[in-house]
Amino acid sequence: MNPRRLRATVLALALTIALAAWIWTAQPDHRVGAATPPPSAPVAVLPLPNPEPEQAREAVQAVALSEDDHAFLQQLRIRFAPVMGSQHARIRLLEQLIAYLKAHYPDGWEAQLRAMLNALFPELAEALLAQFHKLQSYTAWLELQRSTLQGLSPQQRRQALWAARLSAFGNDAEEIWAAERRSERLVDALAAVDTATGLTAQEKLGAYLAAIHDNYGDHADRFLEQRQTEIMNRFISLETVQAELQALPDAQRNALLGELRAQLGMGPEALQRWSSLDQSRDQTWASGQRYMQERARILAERPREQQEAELRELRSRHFSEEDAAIIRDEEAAGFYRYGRSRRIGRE
Amino acid sequence: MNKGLFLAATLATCCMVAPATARDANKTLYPIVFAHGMAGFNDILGYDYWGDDYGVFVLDPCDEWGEYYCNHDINAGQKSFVASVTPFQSSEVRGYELYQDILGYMASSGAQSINLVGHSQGGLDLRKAAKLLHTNKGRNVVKYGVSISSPHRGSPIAKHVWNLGPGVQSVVAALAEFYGDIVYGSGNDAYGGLKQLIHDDISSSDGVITGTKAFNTSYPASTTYIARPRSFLTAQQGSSMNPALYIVNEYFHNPDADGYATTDANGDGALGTGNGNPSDTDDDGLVGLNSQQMGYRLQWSECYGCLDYVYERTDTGYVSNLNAPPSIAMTSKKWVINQDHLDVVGVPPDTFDEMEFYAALTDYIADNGY
Repeated sequence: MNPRRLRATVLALALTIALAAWIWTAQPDHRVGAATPPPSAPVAVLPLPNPEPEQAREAVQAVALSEDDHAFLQQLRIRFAPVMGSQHARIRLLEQLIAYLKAHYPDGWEAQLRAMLNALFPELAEALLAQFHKLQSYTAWLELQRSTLQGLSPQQRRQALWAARLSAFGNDAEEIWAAERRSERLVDALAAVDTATGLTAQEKLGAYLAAIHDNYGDHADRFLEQRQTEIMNRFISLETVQAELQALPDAQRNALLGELRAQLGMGPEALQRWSSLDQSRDQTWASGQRYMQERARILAERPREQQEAELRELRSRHFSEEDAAIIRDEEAAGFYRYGRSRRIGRE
Repeated sequence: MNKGLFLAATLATCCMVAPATARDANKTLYPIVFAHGMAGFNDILGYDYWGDDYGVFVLDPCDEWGEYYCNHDINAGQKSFVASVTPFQSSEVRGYELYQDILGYMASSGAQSINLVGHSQGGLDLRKAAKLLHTNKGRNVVKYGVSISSPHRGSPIAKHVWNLGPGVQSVVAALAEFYGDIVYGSGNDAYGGLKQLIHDDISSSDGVITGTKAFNTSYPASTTYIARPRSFLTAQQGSSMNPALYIVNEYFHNPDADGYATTDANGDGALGTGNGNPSDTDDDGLVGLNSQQMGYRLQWSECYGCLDYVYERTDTGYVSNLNAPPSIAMTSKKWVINQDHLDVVGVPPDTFDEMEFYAALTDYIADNGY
């Protein structure tokens, strides 16, 4: 059986198995109760398929390159020559080559690849071709294992993905997915500060910032400057940080928020804008809470036929005309923004 | 080291770490804010969603000496913000949360206006956020509002899952199949999220009015709120699709979603109808073509070896009233990107070059004044 047919057969078989597994494992919970995840069970992740057999590589026929091909290769050469030492850059180069070849040689793009690589970087062609086969192997594994991977916990999924990457690419995987690895470390650091006991919010943020500096090194300050709000949002959304903020009176809470933002490197102007936003949000939220109390009273005490008129009048007292219309639409859709727990620092 | 030698060494080292490019995307006047789709927010800062397949954020500028893991196609001064909202919720909830996130970002950055890019349900969320921002500031804050693969007029797959159609035994399990166990997280409402993506109010007896039809009336693609509403459309068919979407299309439900009607004429959960052929590349696995256009369509043109291009196209009409688009906006396949619903974000495996696509979009927004 030729390799292409073999791959197609394996893919079809795996899809059928995945389909059967999905149907078999689905639970009839339609429109009942709160959603709970199915119990986790040990899941076997299939090993990575072998890369393209050697004889299949040799069977590839080199094809003459067109003028367009050469022009494209020249662009790639300019773009990638300075960074070919990076394994990530090599994968990016291969991806761009594959996209070009699929568009220009849809029926024989793989056959063209060797010729393109030889013309592009002759001294690296074999290494790049080997990298291509590893990428193909990893991608095929990813497609076959998609359903299984989805069923894993985030930690298990991460382990399975890295095992497959390391199996396919060896230590190069660390370089190819370096950005993802860095993000994972920050996720872990954030989870660790959330559960750390005996630390104040400032100390927790300090620990998180230290993790950012460890991961980003010389680029940490720039990263913090660029992604200040995202980092802030993730940090103050932590359960333990929210609990600390919720427990404080308005003035102390806003002071703490200001300290955390300053700790993140926000300047005086940004802190002033945030202070104004905090005060505005506090006022809006307090008004919203009163609205919800009065709304509940109307619904409990007033005859049904009078409720809508009284609710309309209530909304007009608490909100501007535009806001009142939005609140009305939200409630019609079942959303009560002031009826849920406030996310301090986020609303 | 003398000055000349130092300069030469610096230049040589610089060339060793940063790829040269034929043309960088221009910097936008206002920051670009990203609004993710259903689920969407997995790991740190949303980078998994708005990243390439290797975890590099699509608008991370290469603005420091020696920086490599960044988008080499964008301007070093490009500003952006990644919003995060509850993964599974109605767009009433998510749009409100997006609005609050944007207020926070404006406080941090001092930005007075923004460009807003939303994928999938994020394209609905951005309309609500734009209206709330207008109400709060008393002026138009959102300049470009660009939706990508968004079910503005409903999704046949949402209705199929809701109805427990063939292959679906549980709403939550089906969503977990698409998106993973994130659906089970606290604060999520899988049913609310799904009802949002069905055009008509799904039930007259549940005490609430849901669906895109009502949402579109409340939060229109009005230039009062979004100076320039625009949209990318995606559609794909066959084995190039993401395996999850391929399975859905091949075995469970392949939407026929490129026909015009003023109602949900075929009852599939989306405004419009089909043309009798569900296999003619009229959906991207989750959303049909007739649901995706808002304002003018955008064309993405891939450029091999150089920065891609984005063009505004007017020949498929302009959708100002999302509940009553012109026929051509629901039926034309022009300028549709041949990718599935998940290709255009960082969900592997795919061959789509997210870095170049978002660089080209950035360039388009910048070149058009915002």
